[in-house]
Amino acid sequence: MKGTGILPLVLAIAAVAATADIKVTPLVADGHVSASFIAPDAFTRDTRDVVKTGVPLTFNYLVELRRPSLIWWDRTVGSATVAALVKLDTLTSVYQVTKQQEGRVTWSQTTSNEEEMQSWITAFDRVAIPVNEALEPNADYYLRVRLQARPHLKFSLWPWGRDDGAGRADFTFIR
Amino acid sequence: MLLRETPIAVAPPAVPRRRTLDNPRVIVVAVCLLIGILVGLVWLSGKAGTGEVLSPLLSDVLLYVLYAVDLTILAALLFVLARNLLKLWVERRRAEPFARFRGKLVAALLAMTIVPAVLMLITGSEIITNSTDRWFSAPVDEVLQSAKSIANQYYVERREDVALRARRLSGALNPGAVANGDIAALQPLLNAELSTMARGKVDSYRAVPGPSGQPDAVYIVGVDSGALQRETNTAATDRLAAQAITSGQPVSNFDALDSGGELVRTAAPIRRDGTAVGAVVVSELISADVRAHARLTTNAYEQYNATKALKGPLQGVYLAFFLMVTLLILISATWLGLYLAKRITRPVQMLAEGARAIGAGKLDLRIEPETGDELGSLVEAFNMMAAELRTSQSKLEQSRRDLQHKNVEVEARRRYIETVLERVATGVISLGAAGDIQTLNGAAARLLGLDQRVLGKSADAIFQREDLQPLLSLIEATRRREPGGVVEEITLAREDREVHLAAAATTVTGEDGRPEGAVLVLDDVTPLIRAQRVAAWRDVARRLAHEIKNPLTPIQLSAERLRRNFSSAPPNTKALVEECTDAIVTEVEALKGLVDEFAQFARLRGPRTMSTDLNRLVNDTLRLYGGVLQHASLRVESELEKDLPAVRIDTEQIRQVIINLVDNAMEALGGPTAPSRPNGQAPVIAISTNYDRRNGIVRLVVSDNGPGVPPADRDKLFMPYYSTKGRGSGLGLAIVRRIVAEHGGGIDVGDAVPSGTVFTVELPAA
Repeated sequence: MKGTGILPLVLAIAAVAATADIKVTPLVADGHVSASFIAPDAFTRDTRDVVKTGVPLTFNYLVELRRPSLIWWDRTVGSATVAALVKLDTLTSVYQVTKQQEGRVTWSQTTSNEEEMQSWITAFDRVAIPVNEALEPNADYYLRVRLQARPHLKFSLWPWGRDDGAGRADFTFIR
Repeated sequence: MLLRETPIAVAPPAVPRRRTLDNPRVIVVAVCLLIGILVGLVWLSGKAGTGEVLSPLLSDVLLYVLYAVDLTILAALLFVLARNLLKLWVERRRAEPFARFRGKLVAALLAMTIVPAVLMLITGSEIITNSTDRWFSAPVDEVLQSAKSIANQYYVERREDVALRARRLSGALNPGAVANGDIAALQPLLNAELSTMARGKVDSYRAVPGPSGQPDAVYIVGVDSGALQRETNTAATDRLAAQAITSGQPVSNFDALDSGGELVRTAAPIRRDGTAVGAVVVSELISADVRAHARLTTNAYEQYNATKALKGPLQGVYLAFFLMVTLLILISATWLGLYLAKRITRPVQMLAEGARAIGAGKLDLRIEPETGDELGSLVEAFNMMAAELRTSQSKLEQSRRDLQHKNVEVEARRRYIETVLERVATGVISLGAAGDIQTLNGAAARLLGLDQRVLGKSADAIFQREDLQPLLSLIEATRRREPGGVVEEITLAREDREVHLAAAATTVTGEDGRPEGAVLVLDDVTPLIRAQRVAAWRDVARRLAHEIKNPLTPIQLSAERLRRNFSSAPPNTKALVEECTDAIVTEVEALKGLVDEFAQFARLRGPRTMSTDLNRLVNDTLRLYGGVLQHASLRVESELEKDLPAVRIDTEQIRQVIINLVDNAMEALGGPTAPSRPNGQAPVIAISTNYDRRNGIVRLVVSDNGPGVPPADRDKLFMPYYSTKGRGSGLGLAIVRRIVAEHGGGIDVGDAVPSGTVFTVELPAA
């Protein structure tokens, strides 16, 4: 924002950030749906720079199970929120990675290996999705995963509706 | 300010009042609330800027709130502007009062506000941007980065040094001794290594198969510098050794101590034939002071970077705040402009509408002043003016009603006089002071042969006409202002008759004695003179009948006696006597007939009237001519109006009138066997009747297409003993006129078109 005025402010508001693709794999077992996903492009150069400064980085993933509709808006059947937090100890160069689901810590590990840290925060396996209603057999559903990184890597003066990554996987619920 | 009026007043155009927005309490509360919100936002943004509230989440929330407020204010501003611009446009289209003034006032306030507000926004945004840029400037970055690098490098060097020692020692130790746990063989080497370290610890482990198939690390022997003995985390060292044995690679870590220091460890595997048979763990203590300073450096660096990561949101917060303030100023200026415009123009508008209402006659209007300032005084003055106008209007209205009443009376009197003057048979002419003709009633117009076109013209000029010149003497008499006026009998010679007028001229003088004009009064005395003449003729006829008829019988008897006496005389004598006596007898008979007619004229009885159908009488009378006209060339045509009202007449006398008129016409045409007229037309006598509803007169018209009567003879036609036929007594038309006159009617003679004579008998309808 150096040397900015009203015009850059407006341009920033109008900017649309590019989003990373998230590969989503739906898993159905015993009538329950879980999601495994990986966001290989989410850890960008900017992300790495942020982590290297010792600033805690959080990847918040919103996993939604939705029922598509042709004539109306798609309906959310269930959702889960998971997060991966990484903090680099800039003194010892050790990454502290913590994973949470619905605000509860489910996993924590340290490593000095950056690639290992990257694989940890960009992949989740078998995230259970609680549903609000019984799933309809042989019906079409899809899983949508949206990623928001904090702090915001690409700042925009328009704070609403920004995703840093998104992915979707359609499937038929067979029971 | 309200318009109040008495119940009888017509409601003035109402001006809607928005009490809520005009209430000062509401305005004060709204301003206080706005200031409170602003203070809160300033506090929050200040907290965010100073780093006390550096949570990205809080910054985001604050940013969201500011954006929401900005958008709300922007929407409100656009709505207020759009609404009021539309309202001003509509008011201007409707040409409502003060619409242009309000528009100009709002535009001026907006113009005065927009420029500084936008300038403030631009300047503020630049200041914010520059300030935040300075917070995260390159020198600060470099200093913190360097400090962090120094601390980090120290740690890296310590770790590499320890790793080097561990790798060197793992190569120096005898794998067999390690595998066998030969402490005596290992300890000298461990001590030798420890001796090169300031504060360190060296431990050795041998690998043994574990229950899960993975090798476990079993402690053999260790040496330390003494100070670390109490702080060493044995379990952590064991795990690191096992990790090195399992992975076959050196493994390092840092282990914080309760004393504040930190251990740098590296475990290196001891291989025999490529298989890890044990591990050596070298640990070195980093003192608490060094670690604290290093941590302080890296914490500052991380804190700085965390703050730097919020640079964008912070700028956004401040910019949004400035934008909000700018929008608030704009919306306040807009609202203030509209409010001031309304406050200023509303009383004036009310006064203007009140003035318009008063102009429309609603004098009971009263405007309630809302304030006691100059505008309130102006309103009071307006109300006093309206009250005085109301009083004056009442007086004026009363005077107008009185005047109108008098005018009505004068007008009624004028119409009455006009009607009388128009209906009377007396001609009245009024002259102005300059001698111009001002009024001329119908009788005067008829008597003098004038019309209304002479009004306004000089009487001298009008009376210069040859037949009116006798009136000039009257005009002269009025100029002489003879007391009592002038009365004269004047005879005007018209083309076909003489008109005898009894004329009186009176000078009209004003209150100051000056002449204001004159009035000429003309009475037609022609019928009176004519009646006098007829009366004289009747007296002559009566005497003539008495004096002449008496000797006629002896004369006739004497003549007959002479003829009898000379019947035996010689033929010549006898013939002479008979010729003379026949002549005497014949003339005597003629004289008797003449005398009888005179006697009839003198003794004509009064009519015995009865309601009669005039058309039937005409038809009955015309049937008498059926035999005479059966083979004649002359035709008698009748055109009788249907629904002719009955007339009260003496049928015998009116029958005589009809016969006289038809006989005269027949005589004029040359008798029943008259030849065609010179213009080729057949000789025709036309009889018609019609009804003049307006005057209540039934007319009987007898016309012919004969040679007609010269205009000079027409007035003499009705005089006794006047005949154009050279025979008869000349009493026929005199008797006709007398009969008609005694029926209350009149008879006139005129020209037929293209030739001939028309006799018109007018009888009053029953």
